[in-house]
Amino acid sequence: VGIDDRELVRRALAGKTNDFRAIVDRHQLSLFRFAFGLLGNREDAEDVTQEVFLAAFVNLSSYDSTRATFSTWLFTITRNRCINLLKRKRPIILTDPNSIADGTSTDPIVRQELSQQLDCALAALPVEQCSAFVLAEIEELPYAEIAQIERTSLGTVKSRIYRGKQRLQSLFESAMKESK
Amino acid sequence: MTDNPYEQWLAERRQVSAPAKLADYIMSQVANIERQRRDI
Repeated sequence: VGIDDRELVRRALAGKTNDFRAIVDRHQLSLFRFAFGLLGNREDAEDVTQEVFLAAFVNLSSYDSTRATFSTWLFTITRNRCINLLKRKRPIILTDPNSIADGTSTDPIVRQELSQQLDCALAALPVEQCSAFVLAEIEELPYAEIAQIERTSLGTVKSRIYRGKQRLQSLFESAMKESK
Repeated sequence: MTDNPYEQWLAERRQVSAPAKLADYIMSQVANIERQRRDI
């Protein structure tokens, strides 16, 4: 507790592997959630998270703390790995909004189906929207950090998040109207 | 807990947990890389 990432990186570079373990423990959950949000399944997210930490370990000396926080650096590697994987696996078919389950239902099965359909809808967003949406709405990162990770302007990030939210929320609204 | 299903879905996504042994797998691979480096 209290040791910042830069110090942990310095120690890991000096050969103290336990300090790299501290880095993994600190960041694994947020990177896994981000990868899961982008990829839509736990197995791929687990593989990518492992690859990211191994790539980070091997390339630790190239990390430049004057350019980005360590967390931003890790999120950027994760994003790039996920996009590469998605390019190999897509296209993903967008769920028909009219087929979305009734959003007002309290039935656990219907709720679960709705949740799965939203997962599909999230995965079907353009990858830039999906990535920005997950970082903002699930990881709850500041927009400025997302802009760094996405390597784009603050305005573009805001626009991507807005469009992603609109798209997902419109799926719900369609479902609710259909059910009335 | 909100009744809005969209908000519920977001909340569930924020509570996703990492696999229990993920850090152990990563560190065992890190140890392999270190061994390989030493052997070179």
